[in-house]
Amino acid sequence: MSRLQTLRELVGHFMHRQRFVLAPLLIVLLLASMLLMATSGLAYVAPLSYSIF
Amino acid sequence: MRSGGVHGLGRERCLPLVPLAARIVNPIVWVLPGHAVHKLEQFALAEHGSLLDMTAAANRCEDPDRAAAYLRHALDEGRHSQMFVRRARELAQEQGRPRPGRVRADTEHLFQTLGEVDFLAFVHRGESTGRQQFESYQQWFRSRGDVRTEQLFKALVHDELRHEAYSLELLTDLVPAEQVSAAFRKMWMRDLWHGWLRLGRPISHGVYLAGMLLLYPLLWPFALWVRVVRPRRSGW
Amino acid sequence: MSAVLGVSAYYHDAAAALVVDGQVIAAMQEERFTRIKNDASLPFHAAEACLSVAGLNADDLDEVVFYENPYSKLERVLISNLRTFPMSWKQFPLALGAQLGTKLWVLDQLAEGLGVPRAKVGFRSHHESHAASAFLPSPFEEAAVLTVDGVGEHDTTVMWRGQGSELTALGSLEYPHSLGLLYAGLTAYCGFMVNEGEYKVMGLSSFGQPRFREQFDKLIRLSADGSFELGLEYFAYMTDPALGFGPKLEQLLGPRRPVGRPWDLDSAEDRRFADVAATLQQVTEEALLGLCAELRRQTDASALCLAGGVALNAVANARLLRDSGFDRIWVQPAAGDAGAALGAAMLGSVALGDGRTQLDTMALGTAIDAGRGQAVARSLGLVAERVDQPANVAAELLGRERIVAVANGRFEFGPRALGQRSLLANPAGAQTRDHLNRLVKHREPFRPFAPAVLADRTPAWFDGEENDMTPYMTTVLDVRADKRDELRAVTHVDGTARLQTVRQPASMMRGVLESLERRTGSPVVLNTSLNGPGEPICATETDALGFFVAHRVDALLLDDVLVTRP
Repeated sequence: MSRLQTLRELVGHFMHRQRFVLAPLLIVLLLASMLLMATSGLAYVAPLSYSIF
Repeated sequence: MRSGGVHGLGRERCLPLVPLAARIVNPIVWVLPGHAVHKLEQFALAEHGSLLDMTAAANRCEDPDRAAAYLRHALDEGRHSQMFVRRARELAQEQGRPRPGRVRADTEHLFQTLGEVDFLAFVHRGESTGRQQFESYQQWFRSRGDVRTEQLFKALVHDELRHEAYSLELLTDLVPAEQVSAAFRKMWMRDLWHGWLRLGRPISHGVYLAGMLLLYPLLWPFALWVRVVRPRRSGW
Repeated sequence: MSAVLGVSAYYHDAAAALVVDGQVIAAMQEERFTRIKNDASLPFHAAEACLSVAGLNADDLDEVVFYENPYSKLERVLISNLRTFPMSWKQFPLALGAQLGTKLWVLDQLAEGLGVPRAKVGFRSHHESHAASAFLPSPFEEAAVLTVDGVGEHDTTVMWRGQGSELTALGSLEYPHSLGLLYAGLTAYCGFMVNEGEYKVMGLSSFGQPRFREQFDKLIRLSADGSFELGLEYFAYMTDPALGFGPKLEQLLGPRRPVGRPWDLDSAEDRRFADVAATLQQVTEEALLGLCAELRRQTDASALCLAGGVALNAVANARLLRDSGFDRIWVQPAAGDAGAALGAAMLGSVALGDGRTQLDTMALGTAIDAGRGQAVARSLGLVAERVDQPANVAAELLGRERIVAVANGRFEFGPRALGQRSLLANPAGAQTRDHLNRLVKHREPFRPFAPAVLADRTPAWFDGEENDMTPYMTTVLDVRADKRDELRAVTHVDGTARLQTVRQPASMMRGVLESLERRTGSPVVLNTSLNGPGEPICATETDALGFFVAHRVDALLLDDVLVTRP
């Protein structure tokens, strides 16, 4: 799935040798994403989430 | 209007809930401080959105006569938008409020996504509802003695009647009566669904913001970390 | 055959550009299709139109190149929000929500929206896309390249060396030290809309004196090596991007100007803003000169290419040509993010082994359908007849001080109308400017209109000759003192004009100017864009007809169809 490729590229970006120190920020992104998913803010990724609201 | 068989078809499908609700809330909505200016701005935005949709229809419709009709409609909506903005600015100045800025609407590309038949049904319903709403506002402002705003809505009602008429005429020319009914039914369902979404969006957005505000203070270790590993750089 | 589609979106000015076998086939901004000014949404309409012009479909594409790195962008947004913790609490949820919710997934959205495999969708960096748009289509085999804008992923200003088809970065300045954001902040301070009002500030600057230099030295510190640093305490954009500046700026320069208040340059208050604009312009020019000096030290090049939003500052470009030491300067006419879509496409094309090709026209949009225009015009109750010599007809009307709308051929890429979608008027008329403003443009009184002139006649009317920038209105020249009366409608208060020199044979504009010269002795016309206030420039014959009905100009030419009112 194309979105998996994006996720892979995102993680790869933060894990890159020059940016390895930034890898902990992935945790921030993960927490924010979970909140977004729960509130259907990730409209593009979860297009069916409007069924709740 | 054309054949009697479809006379008033749009109006049957358009339950007068919205205009009725408008009539009920008028005393509150138009009197709350600053809210009149806000409502007029919202109407200006809606008209501008309509301009965008009608212009797209004019551009995409292959038949030049229908394209011309859509273009005329688009120009009317542009004029309406300007009229609302002008009146909003007058009221804002009278009330010492910030001057409303330029209107900038978005578009859902309705002609493209719905197709011409459903689009015409959508337009007709929208114009009909709008016209009835504006009639109630026209009466409200007449009762309050606000002649300028009353005249504004009167002029709009006049145009909306024309838009209601031509959109139904084009629709009934394009497809047989059963398809017309089907289109109206579809747009009625669409309105319900979108109403549901419109209710839910602010709720989910509110929950998201509340959640982020709770999360944010917990990020202080990351803020410190970033300041250490990625301080601001100036120069080459 | 190789076909690469470049795309810019989500920040300002979404656009799509198509390069086939190294040739620029089409480039268009999304706003021209959606009719939303500076529309930043994914440019599917523009992309579809580009493919259609080329007779291709999405399957034929070798690559789709997005103009910036979405992961790097997300990284910078996250880092800058954390750096300004805790003041960024208001901005943080919305910024991160926008990134994670939508913008991060742009490559997937492009793949799905265009119907192209995800593996074919890639990206290049923001400033590299700008640099490519500046250098690759330029007439130079070798040049120094400068890209200056608000901010890309991390960089705001980058110096490059361009050689053949290669670009090498030489140094960069990082966010938040940004000339573009300085200019944008002051644009908001003067009461204009950011990303639309900057050239209004440029026009305003000629009415003022740069007497705020001492204060501006606190806003931006220029270094001897060409770099600069913003006084960050005066700008709020890192914590509140809607504002662009903070309360300390108002303490320094005085209260901001309320949005929408009518201008009166006779008043002391509005003269203050003119002086602020003049100081800003002076400081911007000096910063750019400093950057150029450093570039010349590092590259020893005699030619300079410019792109990025700051390169839209035509007055600064003229100063650079005069004082930077570079012999020639070429500016990407679509210097903002729209042009970066073109740069991205060119980078993709070069990587596939194609050569570079010089850009000699900005007429890269879809063409007018005159037959359809005639049919729709008649349906609207207008008179619409084919004429034999449309250029002569236009010139005859202009000679009689009429205002003529012209829509012919393919529409322009970038912010300037260059004769494809133009509103033309006689520049000599005493009332022309007021008339145009009343009828159509509703511009602030300090904003000038611009001329078009036959390239060979330039020295007879302006102090200077055609150069690499003048065909695209990316620079200004002084109007000759003895001609200012005849060109009063297009001469700015400081005697300059942002002119277009026309050389293209067989173009409508050239035909009009030659015919006009035969009739009146003057090969100069007022050329402003074919659009109402706050609207994008017209694209189709239908848009042009809508304009004609809404604004009472005298005639409209759709290719060779003359449209008039009954």
